Amino acid sequence: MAQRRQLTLQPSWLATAWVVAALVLPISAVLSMFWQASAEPMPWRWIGNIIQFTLLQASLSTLGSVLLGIVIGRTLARRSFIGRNWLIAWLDACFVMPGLLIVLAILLTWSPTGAVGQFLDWKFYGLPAILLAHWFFETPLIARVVMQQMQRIPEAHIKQAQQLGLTDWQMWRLLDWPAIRAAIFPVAGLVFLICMTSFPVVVSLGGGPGSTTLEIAIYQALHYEFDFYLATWLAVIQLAIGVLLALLILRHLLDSWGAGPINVQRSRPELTSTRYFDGLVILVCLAYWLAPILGLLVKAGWQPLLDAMSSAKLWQATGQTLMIATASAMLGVMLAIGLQAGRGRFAMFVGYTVMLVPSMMLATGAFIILWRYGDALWQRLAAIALLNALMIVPFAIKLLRPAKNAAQARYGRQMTMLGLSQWQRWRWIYWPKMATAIAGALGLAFMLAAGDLGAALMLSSHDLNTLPLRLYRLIGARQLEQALWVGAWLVFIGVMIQRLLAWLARRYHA
Amino acid sequence: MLSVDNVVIERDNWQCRFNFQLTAGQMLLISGASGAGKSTLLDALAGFTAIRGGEISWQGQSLLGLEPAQRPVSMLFQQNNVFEHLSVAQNLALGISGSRKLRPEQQARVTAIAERLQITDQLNKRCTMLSGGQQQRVALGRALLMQRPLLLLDEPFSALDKTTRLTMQALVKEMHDEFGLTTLVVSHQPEEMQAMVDAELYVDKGEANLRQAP
Repeated sequence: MAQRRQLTLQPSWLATAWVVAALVLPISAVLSMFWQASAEPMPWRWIGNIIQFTLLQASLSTLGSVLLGIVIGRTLARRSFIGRNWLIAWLDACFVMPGLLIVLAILLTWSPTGAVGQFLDWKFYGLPAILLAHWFFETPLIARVVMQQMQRIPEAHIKQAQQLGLTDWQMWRLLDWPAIRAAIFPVAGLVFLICMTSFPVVVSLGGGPGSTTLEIAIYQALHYEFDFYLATWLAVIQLAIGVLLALLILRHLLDSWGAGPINVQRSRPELTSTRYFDGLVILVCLAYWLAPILGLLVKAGWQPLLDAMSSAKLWQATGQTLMIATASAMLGVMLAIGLQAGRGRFAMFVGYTVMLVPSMMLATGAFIILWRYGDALWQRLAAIALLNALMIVPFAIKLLRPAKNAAQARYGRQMTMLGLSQWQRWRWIYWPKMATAIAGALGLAFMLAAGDLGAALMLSSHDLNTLPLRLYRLIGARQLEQALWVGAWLVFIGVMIQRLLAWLARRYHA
Repeated sequence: MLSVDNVVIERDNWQCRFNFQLTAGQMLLISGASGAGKSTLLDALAGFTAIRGGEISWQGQSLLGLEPAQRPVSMLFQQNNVFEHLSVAQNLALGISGSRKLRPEQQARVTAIAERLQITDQLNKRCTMLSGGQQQRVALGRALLMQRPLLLLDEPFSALDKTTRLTMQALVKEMHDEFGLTTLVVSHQPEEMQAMVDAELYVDKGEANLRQAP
């Protein structure tokens, strides 16, 4: 019996050990520098300004995303119109799209030479550009949560409200807000965390020292000033803020959003009084989220495509991206599966703890380790893959858990009765039942890892060349049209891999 | 003999109390209103529900502290009795070995049970392709292959139409006699089974009253 129990716990403990080691090693490297750094005088006034700007841009980004997300989510939940499901699918895609592609879309639309920006007399780079990009990114997540919560309102309540002749405002106060309120604060916290640590957006659109966030300051301290002490201080400060925030919301963090179709609340009256407002909201959605991408496609010419595709650097970047993303996705999903294999709550806690640690802190640790112990290309590629795998773990757990729980609820007693070991349970029950979910998690993980810029830029060297790095360098050189094709190539690869995995899952079930 | 001595099970706001003995080889019908505690009793015997007090023993050996897989019990539930994504043969094989690697004599046992339950021509089909009655035959076959002397049936045939249900009940009786099982069966149609059982346990609000069949 004791031997069987030991075998049962093995996969989860193995995964736990992996994750703990991958977290502890870089954090230890950072902290080892921190103790040396404590004797150095720090530019506290400058650090204070950076913290202030970091929190300001994250707060405004979150506030705007929440307000827009509530208005848009509420409209999409209650209005039925042609193309509604496509619009929702597109908004979902915006949330997982590589950050640099969003940056590119914002640049080509709102920058002084962009489709809309050329008519505006304003200072684009800095806070305005960062906010425009963050709202583009994060509003869809809030809107999805709002729609999900509104779906939970019992139909009878809506019918009763209809019988009572409640106005739209009264329905908002009595039905919608109480349903939304429970989920909106945790997800707003998640958005705040994402905006606080949003590296690609700020590094591309920040536009100068006045718009420096903690992440950018860490990157600059390491790459331009080679100042380990300052970078370590900044990383520790960021970790402290991140942990404080995440501890407040971690319990609800991953339960607040999920995938799946959103149905129209058919029982809800389509009030005439809100028709024009809802129409305006839908138009804003189309203009803000769809137009930039359409604009990109119109603007894209064939010559930049030929230039992009004939560049040897593109193919080198494609190869390195495929290597990193494949390794990250497989390792991240395997770790997520391993963490869920046992019954231990500790293993799951470890999986979610990853969200507490800012990725830049881990990248800083990896940078220090590579600086000390060698920095060959393969070591950098491996470090980036490992960092991305870690970042994927909480999302993979989130995607795999419902399928695992459903299989457990359906067959748990049968499996127990038959005395199946953990391995046998995975082989015969969980694996077949979770194949689709695993394929989905692998696809999303691949997309996230392939689109990562933060770790790649932090650990970049002359011979490291991933697609996001290539994209970033082209944007920096203002070769936006060529950058567009590189971005399209990146998305194409991600979508093809997702399709391939979905096809394999379908074949498995056939 | 199955001995259930002063067993107390805590539910949300109330308690179930059971105290009865059943001779080996007998068939017991458990009846009573919905929520009276019938399924709770079977869950406790199978090891899925902890008991607060009392003793459960089989042939003088206490079952308390044993995992469900270690108890001499196989149980069929109201639903989800087979792994639908596996074939009939694979489902049956799991009754013998979790690895599903069967020796020739074990494979022969599977074949014999399949023949006995008239599902031989279904062996290579996935369970999703089977009717509800056929799925329950597979579940019954797997329970028999587990070779455990106590068979617990928690209304596994309640979702079937009446003709199929009666057929399955008759089949259970045949298997009970043929394999020398001690069977406890929960039913919401006690009149359908009263003629084939040796005793009836009527459960009312957590209190059990054992009656021998006339």
